[in-house]
Amino acid sequence: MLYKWFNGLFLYQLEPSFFYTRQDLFTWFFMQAGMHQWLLNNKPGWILFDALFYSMPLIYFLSLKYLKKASLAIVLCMITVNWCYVQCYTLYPSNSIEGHIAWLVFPVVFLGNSDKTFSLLFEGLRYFFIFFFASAGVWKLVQGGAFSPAEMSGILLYQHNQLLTNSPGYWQSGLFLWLIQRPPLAYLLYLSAALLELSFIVGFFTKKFDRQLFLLFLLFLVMDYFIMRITYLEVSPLLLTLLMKPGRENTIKHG
Amino acid sequence: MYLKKVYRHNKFLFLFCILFVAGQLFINYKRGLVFSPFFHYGMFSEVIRVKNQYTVSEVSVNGKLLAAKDYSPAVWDDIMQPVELFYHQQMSSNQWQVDIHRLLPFADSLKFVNSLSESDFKKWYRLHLQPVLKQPVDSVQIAFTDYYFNGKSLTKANK
Repeated sequence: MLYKWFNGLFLYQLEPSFFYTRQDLFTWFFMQAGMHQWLLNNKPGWILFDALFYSMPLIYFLSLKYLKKASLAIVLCMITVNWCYVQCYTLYPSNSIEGHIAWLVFPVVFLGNSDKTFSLLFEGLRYFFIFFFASAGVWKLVQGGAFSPAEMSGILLYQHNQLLTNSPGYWQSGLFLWLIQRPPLAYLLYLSAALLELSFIVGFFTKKFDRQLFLLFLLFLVMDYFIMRITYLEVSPLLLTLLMKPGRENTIKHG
Repeated sequence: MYLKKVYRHNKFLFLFCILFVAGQLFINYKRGLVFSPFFHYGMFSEVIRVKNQYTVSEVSVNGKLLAAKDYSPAVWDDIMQPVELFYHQQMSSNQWQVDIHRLLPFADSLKFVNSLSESDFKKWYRLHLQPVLKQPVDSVQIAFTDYYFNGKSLTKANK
């Protein structure tokens, strides 16, 4: 939350005045409600949405402590608020909806009315996270990126052409150019990332390596920031699912 | 096995899990169009070749070209995303005709079309940049400049 505020990423700081329609059938249904248009140039609306979105986890926490009976209704509210906010937010010039997947799916684990249901949903979320990351590796095989020796040079030029042209002499521009001029080395980096992603497949069969997968994902986040200048921080709540100790999933206390 | 445990515990939860898995696999199998929360997590998986020419978006404020090195990646995106998305949607405005109307013939086209003109966008963008750059913004120039890649670096086309 602080990261987003300091980087001007709250809705009221983005001040959306137009939207961009993505190829998402659910979003097209959602857009029929017109909420994304109502929020354009609507300062009170942005503040209301930001306030609701960022306060829902706290409201849920308080409900567990002081008003347990209302917690299910609050979870349903949180899911609704998150979905409306993320759908609108990602239609404006901000970030991809894929990067907001944790906001969309994580609250579902709180829907359970028993500890057992909670732990099963939490475990299911772990499988989803494993799939999320492993599928990125599989896509690289299916779509051919992993078999294209000049892939990483192409990606670096595509991703950083602004930095390379407006910030010559900067250390990152120098590093990217150095890699671009050495396609085999850059390709090795890409291949390492693909292998890192594919290594998550092991998580479908055993939880023994969850700590290692946790560290690998942290490494991915750091490298993604420095090499791709992409901040994938909002996926990090899903990392919590890898911290669940094997055999402990049936003993997690909900709330 | 996870699904067996879920089935024994709650049949509705089991059905929910099966539908979720099926939805995700279907979207992956079909490719193309997605359906939230089922997405493709490709992360640069398609073949991206080195091109000879790149069209680079450039923003100058008060006559000075903005440089990415002066901003965090998130703030730089906040500066460049509006420009890239606004002009991109100007060029690909037939999405409504091609895809949406075909799949949702009952949908209201006005919900998918922006009413913001280019001059209004420029006015909004100038005001938006002030808090982002933390400086007064008197003038903004947006350009899309061609650069050639000569195997070593990117050089301006008209140089």
